Amino acid sequence: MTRLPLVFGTVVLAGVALAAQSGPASLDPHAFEKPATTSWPTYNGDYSGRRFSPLTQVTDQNVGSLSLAWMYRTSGGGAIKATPLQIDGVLYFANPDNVYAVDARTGGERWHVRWQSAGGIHIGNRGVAVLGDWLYFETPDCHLVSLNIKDGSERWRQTICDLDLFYYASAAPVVVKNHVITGVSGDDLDVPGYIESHDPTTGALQWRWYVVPQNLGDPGADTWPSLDAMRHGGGMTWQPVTYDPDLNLIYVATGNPQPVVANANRKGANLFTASIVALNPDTGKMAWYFQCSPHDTHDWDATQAPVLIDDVVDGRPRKLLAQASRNGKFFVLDRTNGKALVSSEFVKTNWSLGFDAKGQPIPNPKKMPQLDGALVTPNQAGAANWPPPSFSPATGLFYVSAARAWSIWYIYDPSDNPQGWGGTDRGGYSQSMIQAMDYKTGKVRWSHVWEGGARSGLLSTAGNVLFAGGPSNDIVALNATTGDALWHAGLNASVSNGPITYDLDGRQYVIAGAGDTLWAFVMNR
Amino acid sequence: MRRYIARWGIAAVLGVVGGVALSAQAGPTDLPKVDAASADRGRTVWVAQCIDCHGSQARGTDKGPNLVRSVLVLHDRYGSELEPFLKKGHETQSGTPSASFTHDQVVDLANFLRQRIDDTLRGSPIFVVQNILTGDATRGAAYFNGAGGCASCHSPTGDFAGIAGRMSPVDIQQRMIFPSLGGRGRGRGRGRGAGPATTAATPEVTVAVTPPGGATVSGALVQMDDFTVTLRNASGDLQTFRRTPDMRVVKTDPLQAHHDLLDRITDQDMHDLVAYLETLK
Repeated sequence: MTRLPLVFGTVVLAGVALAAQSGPASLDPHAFEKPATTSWPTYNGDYSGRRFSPLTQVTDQNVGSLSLAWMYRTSGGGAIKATPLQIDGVLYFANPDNVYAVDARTGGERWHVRWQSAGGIHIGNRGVAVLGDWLYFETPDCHLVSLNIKDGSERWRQTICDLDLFYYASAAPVVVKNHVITGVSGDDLDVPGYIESHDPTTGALQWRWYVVPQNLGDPGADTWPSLDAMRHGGGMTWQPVTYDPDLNLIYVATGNPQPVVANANRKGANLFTASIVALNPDTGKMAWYFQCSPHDTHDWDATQAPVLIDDVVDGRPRKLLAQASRNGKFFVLDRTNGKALVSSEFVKTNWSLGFDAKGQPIPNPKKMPQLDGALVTPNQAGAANWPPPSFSPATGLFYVSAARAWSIWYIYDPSDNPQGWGGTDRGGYSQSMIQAMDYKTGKVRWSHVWEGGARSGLLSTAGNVLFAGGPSNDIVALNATTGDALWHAGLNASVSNGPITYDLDGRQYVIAGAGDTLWAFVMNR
Repeated sequence: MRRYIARWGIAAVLGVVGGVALSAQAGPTDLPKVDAASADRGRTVWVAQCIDCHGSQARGTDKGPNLVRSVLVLHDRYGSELEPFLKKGHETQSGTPSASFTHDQVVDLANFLRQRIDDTLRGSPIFVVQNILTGDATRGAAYFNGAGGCASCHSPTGDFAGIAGRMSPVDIQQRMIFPSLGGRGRGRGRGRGAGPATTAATPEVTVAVTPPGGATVSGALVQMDDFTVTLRNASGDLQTFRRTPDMRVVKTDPLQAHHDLLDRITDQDMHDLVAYLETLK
């Protein structure tokens, strides 16, 4: 490898790749099936997307004694939207064009890599994946890159999207067996979304699955008016997948269709946009789909985490999948086949005419964007957005950072062939809250309304604590059963990622990103 | 490496790092910048040679493909892709061989096409609201004085006198529905003109705090969460209270009636109201 001089502790990536080194090329499919206690090895802590920790050192009774352990301020990349991974006492996370390795006990920097960018939107980076000695991350200029976790040196880079077509890359990869699953971002031009699998050792493309049909006769093609419309129909894959190793299915949540708002040239349901899709990770073949927003016209991607829940329903074990979708709807599916068991709302909305026989919302044409404006709830930011939710098997509650938000939606391009967005929403009134959903009924068990805006990722623990970002640039602990506020600590900015927890040396840490700083709290004995 | 150092040096001089300098930029850093004069010349070529098949906005017709979505065009840099393509020969509406186009003509066409691409983006000159005056002013007046409850706080001869001369229809609509924002748009995709030209102040939210066994303290709400509440009292001093279960905290939002209206008002009511307010010249 050619390495440029260190600049303020920074490793600058050069274009010459390391020769492949030895290391595991595959992951036991059951490796991240259950939540770890001494590590946080993948985006959601485990493959289920629950963001639930079995740790009990911090409880609803003693969380008031949680103390600051350390803070680490990043030096590039903007706000920390990544969920850090914690492996062998080191935290790994990414900001756009930056990857950091930080000592999980002290906050000391192990290494920091800066990526030379050729462009792309730098709105955020959700994090990294690690397999053995190797780390994987995406860059805004459309690369998937593998680094050595020991020193940040580059092993390989692969182009995963076309920057000239206004794609960019922000998702956190997820390693499943011998696959690095990567998503793509970008909705300024009308381009198709897709998800890819790459070889962990070489970076070679293993398969690509297009969210929108690419040929007449393909599954879903009958939900588009033309070949041109569906080939440019969007459906970005902004968020990490979840995975059921027993079914060998990854669950992909897909983005909104294109053009985003003006929609005269894409009549139909526009499959498989704004959907939850089950794919075989070895082949990329689709097993089933469920469309959360048929013919979306409000930028409501359905890329909120598909959370896997195991339960007994009507006397028999059921493999479930729950999502609090950006459009305000709450779905519980049978994850073996995609059949809806529950379709409800986690906040009140005004854009649909109920649910169809499949449990999918029926959009109200009058609440689609209009030339003179349509008052709609939720707004563009959605009733939920990318910040990851949490599910606690201990309480049986699904927690989501939610908003009751309004805006007026306009068509700007009234032509019969709009491109790009062709309209937008304006204005807004929003009330932020955490909704605790009973997944069996689809009803809100409790609602913790914030005074002011707050929207972060969530973490629940077996100590009956729910960690969230509060409205006063603080991290807040709530009683997971009741929603009562228990503790908070002021930070330098709003919590901007999903908090994590782990045990090191018999001490439970809680980690959250706020703006450019990673904060660590610990239960001192 | 030389290329890298040069770029990094520029970033260092500008005091920006990583994504900060690039955060608003979609596409590559070397995205072509449109030369408007060249694009105007390109439009002339376009009308003479291309428009019949590719359409006035280059979005295609039954006779020719959409060039705004063309990968070749999107990869182009000032004719870098377009010129070799045209040199190979491509049908034109006048019959003029495309290979005979001069380099400058191709660059002009490239600028014209890039301008069409840019026009599809949020924030482009044509990314603007259309006519929203579709309501019925008579019905709007009835709603204003009746079910909407507007007349309890506002008057067409008082605070709303001449409002149509001060604000555009869309600004009236936004201000009416979302007064706490001043109608100002937020977030992704709002694009050009997202904030209305209004300077009306947003009424203050107030709070009254009664500690256990203590006197009530009132003032403008500065900050409140589950743990503390801060207000500015009548003397202009800030006072912060740690909240306890037996502390009484009452917030008063003068815009609550507007917030409550969100669940009641129909789109027709909204358009009728704007039509009525637009009559208050």
